[in-house]
Amino acid sequence: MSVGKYYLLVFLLSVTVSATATEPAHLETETTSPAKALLSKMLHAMATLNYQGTVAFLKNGKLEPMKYFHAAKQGAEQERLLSLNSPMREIIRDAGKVSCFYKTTEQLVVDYRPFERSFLLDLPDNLNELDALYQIELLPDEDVAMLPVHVILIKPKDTLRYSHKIWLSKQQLLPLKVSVYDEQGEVLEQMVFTELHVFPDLPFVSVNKPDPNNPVQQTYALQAQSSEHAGFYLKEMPKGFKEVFFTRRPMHNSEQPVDHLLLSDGLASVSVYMEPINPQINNARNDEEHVDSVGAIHFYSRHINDYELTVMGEVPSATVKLIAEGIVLRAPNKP
Amino acid sequence: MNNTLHQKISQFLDNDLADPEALELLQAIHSDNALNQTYQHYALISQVIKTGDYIPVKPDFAAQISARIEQEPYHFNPSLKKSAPSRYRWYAVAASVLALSVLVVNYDKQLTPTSHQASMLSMSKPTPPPPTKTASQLAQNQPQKPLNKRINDYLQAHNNSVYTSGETNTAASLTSVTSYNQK
Repeated sequence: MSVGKYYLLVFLLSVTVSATATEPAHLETETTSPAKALLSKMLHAMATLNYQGTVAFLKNGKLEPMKYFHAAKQGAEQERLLSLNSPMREIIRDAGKVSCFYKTTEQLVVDYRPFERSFLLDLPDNLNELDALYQIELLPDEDVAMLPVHVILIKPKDTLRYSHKIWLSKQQLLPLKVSVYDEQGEVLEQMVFTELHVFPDLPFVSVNKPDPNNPVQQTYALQAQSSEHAGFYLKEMPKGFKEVFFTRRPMHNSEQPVDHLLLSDGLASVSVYMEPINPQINNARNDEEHVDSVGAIHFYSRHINDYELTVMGEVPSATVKLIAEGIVLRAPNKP
Repeated sequence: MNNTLHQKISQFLDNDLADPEALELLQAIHSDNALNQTYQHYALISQVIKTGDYIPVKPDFAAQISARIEQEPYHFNPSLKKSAPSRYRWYAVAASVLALSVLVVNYDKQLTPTSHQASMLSMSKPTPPPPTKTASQLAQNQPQKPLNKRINDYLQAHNNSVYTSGETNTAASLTSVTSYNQK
């Protein structure tokens, strides 16, 4: 082979490699499904529009109607919920901080939640993260609250997570209804707007100042840490779940810290808690290992040595049990 | 002998011969061609005398009719026309199915499956049916237990659903799904 042919071959190979390297992004833009395109527009609308309405949350068999407000200005967002039934309360989400004020008791709970964005629906910015785990389909159009809607089904590709169906208005591309289904196709949770209006502008409101004589009673301050500081690690996790957040903080009005590791597959989240066994807090149920549920949230506790470990998340019972059985305690003298 | 037979043929045609003798005569005519021709001849004379009409008939007329009959195809298992089921039969079937379903439901209610059986049943379920129950209907059918403080605190830390469930700082409900014995 002559030197000229050698250089020609190297040039052709380099061109081929560079073309291959850029191919996924190119294909990605071409293969974005109509359903995913609508979801992307919905996320943008949710974050940038000013809207308010009446929304009903159906969880654990209880219907909770609330007034909902979303204000957006110059990239900042604020969500506000006003309960219509007891316990009367006002909940405000501001930049990763949730404040809940109870009217009757005048109790203010401040909760730092940097990993959540909406009371309505949490989806990842990059919907392609869901491709390996969920199938996103566009279903026939329907009507919700007398408005025509697109219907999108997010169906898991395995049995370790739940299906979600989203009804988003054709006009504003806001979610008017969201349902979560279990493996048998039965509704676990629902959120539905009975009326929703979009405004050019909505005010940002401040949380009711607590009475000086009755200051903030509970504050859940989260200080993100590396999960290597956790007293445990997970030797295996269901496909697609990643560590999102870890913190160690006191709970149960006690100084005893609790390790909290949050996992997510982009749509479903799972928490893993670890704390020393405390008979005063734990009830008689701990003589057995259980998978229990509250609405769509399953949780499973087990004892390892002198510790109680609980896995909790809006996933099927098999998923929390699988994660719990993969927990291994770290040696105390090792990071 | 012939005169006797000829006389008997005449009596047979006049219907004056007793049955046993008539049978013997017919057997003789069948086996004796000459006698058969005599019988045919006497039959013509008798017909002319009685009716005045004369219809010439070939001697093998009867034999030809018999041969034609034997050549006709046989039809075995002739198809019978099905009688339409009566209304009463359908009523009887419906009543039987109803009675059977009532018995099955009652029997099923009497059974209390163990957790293992429940698990096996869920595993053997066929393709999931479309959603038919609402979450509220499901919850109403499930036993609810008070939620302990530890789990309530965990829920609070896990996600913001506690704020929209109306159960924050209140006795939330707990639904037991499955039990696993500690290894």
